[in-house]
Amino acid sequence: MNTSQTVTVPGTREGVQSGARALDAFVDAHGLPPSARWRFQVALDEVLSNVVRHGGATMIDLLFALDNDVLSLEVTDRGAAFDPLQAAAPDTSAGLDDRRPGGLGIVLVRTLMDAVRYERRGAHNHLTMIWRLRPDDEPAPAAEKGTTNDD
Amino acid sequence: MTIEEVRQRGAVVVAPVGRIDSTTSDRLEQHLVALAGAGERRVVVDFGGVEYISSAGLRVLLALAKRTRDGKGALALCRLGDSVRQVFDLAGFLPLFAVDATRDAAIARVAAV
Repeated sequence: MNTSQTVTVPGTREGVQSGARALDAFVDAHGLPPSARWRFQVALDEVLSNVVRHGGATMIDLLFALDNDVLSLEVTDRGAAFDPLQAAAPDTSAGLDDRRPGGLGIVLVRTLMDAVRYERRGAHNHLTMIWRLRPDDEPAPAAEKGTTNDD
Repeated sequence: MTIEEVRQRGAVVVAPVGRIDSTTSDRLEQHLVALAGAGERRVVVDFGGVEYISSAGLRVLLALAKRTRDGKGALALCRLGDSVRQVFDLAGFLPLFAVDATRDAAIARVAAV
């Protein structure tokens, strides 16, 4: 299957909600697995809120594309040049005292996707997120076991 | 997202239902801050009804963990679904929280503190 769809949303908090609805509609229309929905929703929430916070973009284009088993989402805006992938990564192994909330979102965008690319072309920021669909997510990593009581 | 709340064995159980994202996380934050203001010191957050959590929600939980520690309270999370657990894991959040499989276990944990 090879299909794509473009949706334009305003660069506002309402636009972030519209983007989430557009993603739901695309996932529903093509019967994509739940893991694709939540991964892209979490990533898109971060990317759109970043654009709204930093960008000064009045409109944001979302290009959803499904190419066989690869789902991609390209977010394009005319805001100031901003590459979120260059942001410093927070220390995700720090204890509670040293934890800062900033930067976690971009860590999630990077790690929830197979690939993320940023490009400045002309007056536009293009951020493309790519994920190959799996029937089910792999089991959660073993690292969590120490903190869980399975009773 | 809606927020369900029940009291059991001296603990308050907060159960958000739906999506915790940049649109809804402020409401969860206000709810949790109000509980702290009301002197609730034993808190369980039940994720059984949560579809997913984004970084905006992680921010709320980090603030809750710090408030709980500073106020000498007790906090446990329970019933993390696959998506929530993976996001916690990727963000390095699992070591920061007491996580239980069931609501009963989480209540027992905070009641014992």
